Amino acid sequence: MRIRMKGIYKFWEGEFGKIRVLENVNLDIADKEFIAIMGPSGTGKSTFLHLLGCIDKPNFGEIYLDNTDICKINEGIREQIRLEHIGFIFQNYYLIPTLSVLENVMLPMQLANSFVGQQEEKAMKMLELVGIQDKWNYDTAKLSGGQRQRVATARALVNEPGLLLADEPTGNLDAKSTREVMDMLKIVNRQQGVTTVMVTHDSKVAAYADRIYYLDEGRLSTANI
Amino acid sequence: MIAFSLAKKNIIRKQERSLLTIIGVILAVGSFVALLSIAEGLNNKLTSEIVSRNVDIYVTASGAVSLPTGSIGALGSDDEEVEIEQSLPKDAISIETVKNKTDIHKLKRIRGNFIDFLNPDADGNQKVPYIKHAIGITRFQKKIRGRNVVFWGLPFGTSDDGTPLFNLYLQGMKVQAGVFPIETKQYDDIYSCLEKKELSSLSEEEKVFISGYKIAEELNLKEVLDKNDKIEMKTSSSDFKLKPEAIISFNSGFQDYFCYMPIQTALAINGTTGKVKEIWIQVENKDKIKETKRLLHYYFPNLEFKTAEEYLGTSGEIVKYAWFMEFAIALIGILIATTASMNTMLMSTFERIREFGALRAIGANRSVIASMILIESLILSIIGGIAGIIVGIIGSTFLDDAVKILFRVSFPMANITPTLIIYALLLSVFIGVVGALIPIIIVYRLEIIRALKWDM
Repeated sequence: MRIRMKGIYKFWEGEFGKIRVLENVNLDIADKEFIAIMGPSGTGKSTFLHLLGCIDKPNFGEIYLDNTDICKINEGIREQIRLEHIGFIFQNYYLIPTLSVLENVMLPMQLANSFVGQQEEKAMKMLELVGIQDKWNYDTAKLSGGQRQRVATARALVNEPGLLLADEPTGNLDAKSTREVMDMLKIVNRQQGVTTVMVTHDSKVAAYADRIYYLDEGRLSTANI
Repeated sequence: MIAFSLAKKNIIRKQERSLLTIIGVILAVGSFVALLSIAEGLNNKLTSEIVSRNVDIYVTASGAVSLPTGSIGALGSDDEEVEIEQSLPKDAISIETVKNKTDIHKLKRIRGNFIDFLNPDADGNQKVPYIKHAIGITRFQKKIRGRNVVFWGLPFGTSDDGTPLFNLYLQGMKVQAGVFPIETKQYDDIYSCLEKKELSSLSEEEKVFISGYKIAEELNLKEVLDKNDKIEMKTSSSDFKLKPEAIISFNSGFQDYFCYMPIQTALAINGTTGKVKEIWIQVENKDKIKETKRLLHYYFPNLEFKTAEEYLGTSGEIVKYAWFMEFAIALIGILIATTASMNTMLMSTFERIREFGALRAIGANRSVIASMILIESLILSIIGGIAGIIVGIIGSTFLDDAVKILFRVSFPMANITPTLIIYALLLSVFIGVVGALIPIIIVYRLEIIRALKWDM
């Protein structure tokens, strides 16, 4: 999925007036590319990701996912895009605690009513891809952080999205798990051909990306790390 | 389907809280069923009581509110009496004979008198021609052997074709012991039994009564009857004694608690000669009931006329009143259960706001999450509702015992009807829906970003 961002501005209404979060952000991401956005806390990295993920709208500017300007479509279509074309990975995993590993991965398919009749098979394939197929019937609470992030990745990929958004995917992981998860994301990006945008403050993690951008005080620049 | 699955799993995950909500609903629905089963039972008993009578039109004093069974224990009230002209014409004739034109001249117009409806117009035609029969009824309460007993005064004689009036109006009553005292006297109209009589002038044949099964049992009347003995009643005359003549078979209703005596005796005991509580009318042709009522109302605007159907409606109003009273009590439980359910769903929602945010982020729309909350709340409330119905059925037997003590009746009053069960189920659905309402509004208004950053 190709992404274009043109003149993006985003403000928050703060106690003492408007707070500028993103300012004139312009970015072109090629299909199947893996990019990382770096920057210290509170510089708008997550906001940037939320704009791309159709869960927030900019105050000004245009965002194109392929040829669709997601700023000009209604919430129903944005929901549809989130469900069918975007995969989310969060720092806190956000797995559904009442569901098993397999059920968590099947969830987006059930929401989309897609792959009916082969949902289990498809979910198992995804678990295999992220290397956690042996724990398919586990309670997610019994998994380690790295394992949970693998499950979250499988869930994000199960509807075969064109865009994978990862918000500090290794933020809660130890060094070993971080390596494992990043290796996995790299493989997924290469094998599945999913355009991947990752937000991180860790330069070692960012190094897995094809291109790295730096976000500082709402402005995006190419980083030379 | 996914919403149902998620809701079900969340209930299982939060077992203790789910159980507490279910208990709240059980208490609300249980108290609703138990309390209202008594109102349903009352309705059932009153209806069967009225249906068993062969009465087409009831006449009461205007504005008199009468419980159709009369007073029993704490039930009922002293209703107003229908004033009947006391100076009756000696040659008053029957409603039957009025059809014979030759007898019309015997009728006398007595202003304000109920018998006026028999009076012919200027052409000699009867004003209300469809009346077959009418009797005066009275009720009063007296102590016998320390127990308050409701007596009904009604004619013990026969109609002109020889049918005992008792059987003519209170059909289905059977004697369990003794025999019905049938006076040979014909009560051709409602006045022939209302002649002014002093207590002391009553004949021995008139100082009799028939007892309902339960009252007979309580007062040990069978023994009195077998011994051909009499029983004392406190009246203005110190040594007034009544002879039980018969005991009516058990029929599991109010009739088991009533005693019946000749109306002239009842009026003499109460010093209310010429006044009856009600007049019961039979109409010759059932198709003419409404027309008869209309004519009666036209000639006697100061009296109230009710068809049997309307009379049932009056009892329905009393039942409705009882229903609302009991519902008001049950409402406390309902409010507590609804609040508990709402609280559970709110807590559950706030705990899962981030989860909902994540679900929304991965593409779940608001209605999936709203359905999830609603289904969860409904599952809890319906489980509680079904269990509450069972608890209510069990509770109604205990409540029945309380009612028996309070109203001094021994027949089962509680009646669990299919309608009550449906109401109880609807109530549990209502609790579920209301319980889920606020959480659903919160979820609908919540933005994904706020949800993802939610901190409890």
